[in-house]
Amino acid sequence: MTALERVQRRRQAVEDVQTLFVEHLMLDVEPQDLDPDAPLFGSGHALDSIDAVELVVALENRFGVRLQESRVLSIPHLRTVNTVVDLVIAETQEAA
Amino acid sequence: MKPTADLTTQLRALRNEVTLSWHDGLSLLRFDANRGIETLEPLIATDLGIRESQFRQALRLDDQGRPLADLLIGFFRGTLHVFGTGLEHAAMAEALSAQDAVQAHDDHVVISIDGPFAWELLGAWDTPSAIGLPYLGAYSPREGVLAVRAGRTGEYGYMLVVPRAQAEGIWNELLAASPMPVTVVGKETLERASLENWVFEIDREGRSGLDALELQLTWRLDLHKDAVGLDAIRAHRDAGLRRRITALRSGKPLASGARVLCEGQEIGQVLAAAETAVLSVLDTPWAEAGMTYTVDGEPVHSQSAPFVVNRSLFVNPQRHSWAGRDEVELPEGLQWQNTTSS
Repeated sequence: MTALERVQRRRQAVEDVQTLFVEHLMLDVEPQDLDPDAPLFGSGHALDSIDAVELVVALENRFGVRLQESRVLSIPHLRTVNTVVDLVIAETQEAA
Repeated sequence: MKPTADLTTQLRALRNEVTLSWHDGLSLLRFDANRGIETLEPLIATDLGIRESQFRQALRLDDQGRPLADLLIGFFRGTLHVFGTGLEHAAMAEALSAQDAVQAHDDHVVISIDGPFAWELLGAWDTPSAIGLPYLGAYSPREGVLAVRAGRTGEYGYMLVVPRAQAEGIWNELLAASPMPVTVVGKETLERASLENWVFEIDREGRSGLDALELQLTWRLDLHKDAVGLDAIRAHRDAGLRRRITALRSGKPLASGARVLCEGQEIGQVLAAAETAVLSVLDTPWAEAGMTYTVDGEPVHSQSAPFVVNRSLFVNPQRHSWAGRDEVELPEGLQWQNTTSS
């Protein structure tokens, strides 16, 4: 796989997660407006713990991964769109 | 009020215990609440629907959509408070049309308490209930003093805005009240911590010529409102981004301005770096995490921000204390990390 193909694959995963967040949390923004490295909780997009639970369920359904509880509850994995993409990629590879 | 320990010691205290710092560099302005909103609404690119005793991170953009001032804006007891960086105070007042505002700049200073056990020091100095203050919430621990929970380090952080005449006394009270060692930290340490956590610094990446979209600050913008700089932002958004700020991890220190290459092709440059943590601006489509590029012939790895796992994420003020700090554990598979040492 070339560098361009790898980076395009990553971009697709980022866009998938952005779209999933906007649709499931009914955010009043376009998917592209969720900056990949902006904090999702606290400052940034100001999501809360209920949103986090919904996100995890939505991610499991969308990507067909089982996010083990110990990892899901690790706050660093849910800090940004990019950290969520890292988690999904890692879990997908583990499942394979 | 100046740090005595070296940078590594200061940073270690910030990441593990509690620190104090003294700020003279913030612009402090106070508006009558209604008049302040009327004045600031067309100038600030952020939604100003802020509730009493709450603050919000905001931006004053220039007409090209680049950050002109980095602001913390909030309401407290009928007053609109603005804490700003990025401009000298007179220029800040002008940029915010604040000629009629109360200039709190000369007679107040800001004392910051930062670290995973910052809440414990605040509670010991004031009242234990202070530990329940929500993020970006505000209260007054005593007459004339405003406390805001707002840090720039990724750890628990509180800003105490205090009258200059009381500042030294309060500083000494904090030192005396602390149940743990307190390390005084300086600007260099706070800037390092903000880079490790990728907290926006207007005098660092904010002066790189990038606009708010390229800086990944869309979350601070209200794209539905009409304010200075937002027309340029909307036009840029419609046209598509051509570059974006991106985190890199390097095995060695890098210089600002160093070229980032992918398979021999220049794709961007280093904006700022500290030890292994690097902020770069990369062209799209290359501005993504999970890639390996080169700088000065050495590999660098693009990654998700932030660069550190903050201890504060796992410290619960209801259960933990500095005395029992060894009980604070990371979930399986994670390690405490730092761009220097932890």
